[in-house]
Amino acid sequence: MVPFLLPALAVYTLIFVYPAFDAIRVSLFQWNGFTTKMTYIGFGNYQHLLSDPTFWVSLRNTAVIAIGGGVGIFGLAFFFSAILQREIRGKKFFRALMFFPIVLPGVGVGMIWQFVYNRSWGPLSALLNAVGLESFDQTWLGPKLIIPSLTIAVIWTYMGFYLVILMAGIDKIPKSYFEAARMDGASEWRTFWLVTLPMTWDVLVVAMVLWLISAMKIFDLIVATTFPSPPRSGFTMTIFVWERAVGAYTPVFELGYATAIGVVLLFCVVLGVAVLRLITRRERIEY
Amino acid sequence: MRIRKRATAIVAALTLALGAAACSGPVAAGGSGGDSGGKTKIVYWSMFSTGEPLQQLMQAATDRFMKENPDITVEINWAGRDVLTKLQGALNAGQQVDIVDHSNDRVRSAVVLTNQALKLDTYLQQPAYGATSGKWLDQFTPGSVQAFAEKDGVYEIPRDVYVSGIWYNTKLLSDAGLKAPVTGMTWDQFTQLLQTLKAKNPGVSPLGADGSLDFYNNWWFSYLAIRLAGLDAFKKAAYDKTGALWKQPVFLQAAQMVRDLQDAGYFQKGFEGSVYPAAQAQWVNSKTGMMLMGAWLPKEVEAQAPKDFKMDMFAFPNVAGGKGNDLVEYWANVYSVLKNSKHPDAAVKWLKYMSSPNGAGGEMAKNGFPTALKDAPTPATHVAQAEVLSKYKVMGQRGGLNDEVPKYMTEVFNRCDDRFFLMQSNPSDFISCLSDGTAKFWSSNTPPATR
Repeated sequence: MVPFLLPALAVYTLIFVYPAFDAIRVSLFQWNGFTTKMTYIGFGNYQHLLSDPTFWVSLRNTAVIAIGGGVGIFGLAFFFSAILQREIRGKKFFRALMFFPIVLPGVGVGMIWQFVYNRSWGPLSALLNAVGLESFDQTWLGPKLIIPSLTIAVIWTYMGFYLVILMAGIDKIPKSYFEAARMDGASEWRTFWLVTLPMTWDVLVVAMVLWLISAMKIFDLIVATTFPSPPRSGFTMTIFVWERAVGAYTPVFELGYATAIGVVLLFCVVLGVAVLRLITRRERIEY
Repeated sequence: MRIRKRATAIVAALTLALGAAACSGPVAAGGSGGDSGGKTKIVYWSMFSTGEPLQQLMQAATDRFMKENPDITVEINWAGRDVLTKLQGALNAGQQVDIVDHSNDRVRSAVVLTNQALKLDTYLQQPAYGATSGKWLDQFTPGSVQAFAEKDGVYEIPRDVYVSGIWYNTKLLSDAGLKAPVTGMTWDQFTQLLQTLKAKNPGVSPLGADGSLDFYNNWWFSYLAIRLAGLDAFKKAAYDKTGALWKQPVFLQAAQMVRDLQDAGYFQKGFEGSVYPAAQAQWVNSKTGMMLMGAWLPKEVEAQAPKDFKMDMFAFPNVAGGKGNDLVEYWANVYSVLKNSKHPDAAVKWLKYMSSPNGAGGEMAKNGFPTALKDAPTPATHVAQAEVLSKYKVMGQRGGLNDEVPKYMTEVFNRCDDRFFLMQSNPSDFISCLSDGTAKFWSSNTPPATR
């Protein structure tokens, strides 16, 4: 057994375990990445991080996208799964349509949303103005609304993917359970709450874990929507790492500090997943 | 059992071998010494991507150089704008890179201040490409090389050079009966011009800005602060360990002047959320009248501008009683030769060719790129730049702070300015942010040795 596992283990160790642990080592240094000279500063980068206002903005934005986006994605995914569960015409087409955004490259999706949110010639502002709702027209990518706007773009992009996962779980529930609920006079909501949700709980938890990890690492969609330089009010943790590591426009090359942010991000992901697993823990239902 | 043991040994050996290969020493691009077939090979990592106008021009010039110098092969990596990011990995892996280019502030942070650049003073005193006497330095406009020099010498060779100023749509201004002098416009004249433009063209915003870029947003305050207080006072405030110098009334006045422009509605609606290059697109389509921008603007908008679109530039307006009215920002895209180059002479020979009238230097100017070369023609779009340079003293970006203390700019200046420029804080909160942020920053950072 061991000999056959060894190559995979070695590769995994070399390309994942070692860099992950080495990142912790690098985060203890002041380093610009251009030379081999690294200055050991202990937990200096972490101390600095705690007093860096941009870090807290990035952390808050990441949390808003993860939680707000998660609520939107799973709320809509359940809503559409309830609709698509029925025998309706074009069911497969609609399912494919909703899945479609995830197939598109993040950069392309970002460009689409940059166009949608453009206040001068974007369709959203044009529509609001055309139907007499000028007062609702906003600076969508301005500091006040950029995170909600980006969260909507994120929901649009990822909802279809989680819809497909949830529908796969729902399809596994024996039809007789729904029929029995219907015969007992249960409403749609009660059927969802007492049959669909408990029966798909394990699938939902896995999907939520996947979403949390994706949300914490989200990068391309936001960068592309705000390319070439995401505004500070729209910084997430990954964008903050990027800005500090390679100096977006102001030439800051702080690879040590950026690595410390990356380590904190890794810690946040692990902590987030652990908390999610803890609060979603319940008895397994078998059928 | 024996077979199993042998299998274990083979797998272990293979794994070790793979690991050893992966962890082995630096691999040079195209050979350990960078030479092949008796030729000297130099490697240039470029900020351009394949297909860009300057890339094509430089590739053609390099091909000619190799024809003239059959003993030298130039390998070019068209790495694009994130060339320096890629360079981080390459240098650590020991890969051969002899020349790199980017904007002077980026090259300085990445290569010069990390002690990886070659000092070029001796080469600058030698004859230019193809010459047997004279100095290479004399090919450049006086002061243009020195503008990017360090205290101990020259590490960067300027290629295309730019100032920043107010770019305007000439038709919009002339239709409104307005004229803009290239230099010496006062702030009152400027605001009068904005007012007239707005009154005569209600559908046009006098000013355009892409609020998504913090390093563009900070132009307005930094220029006004320097105009009013002077460069020394501006820099002193930035380097003040107590941060108290930002609280001088003159800086609040500068912030208030920016806010007055915004309150008067001179910027386009929604500029706070405008993502680059949306404001430029509006400008070339006559939806806005002017932009505070670097002189790379003509090339940036070339493809999207209507054929009949005409533009020009004037220097940032002067302020009454100002102490920094004679200054203009000046910077360049520069080349730097890496210190660990095995063939510095060949690398510099190529640089000399690229900055010679017969190499890329002369052609660049003909193709609309302003260069630092003395005898190169001034592109039609940059006549105003030449006039500004002849009358104003040059300073670095944001008074030089951008390349002296980029970390300060990111962590304090741009952070505070962005909130202010995007209408999230008022002038006095902005000044407090600068003051508190500066004090906090210098409590844990050491000021660098300046030029």
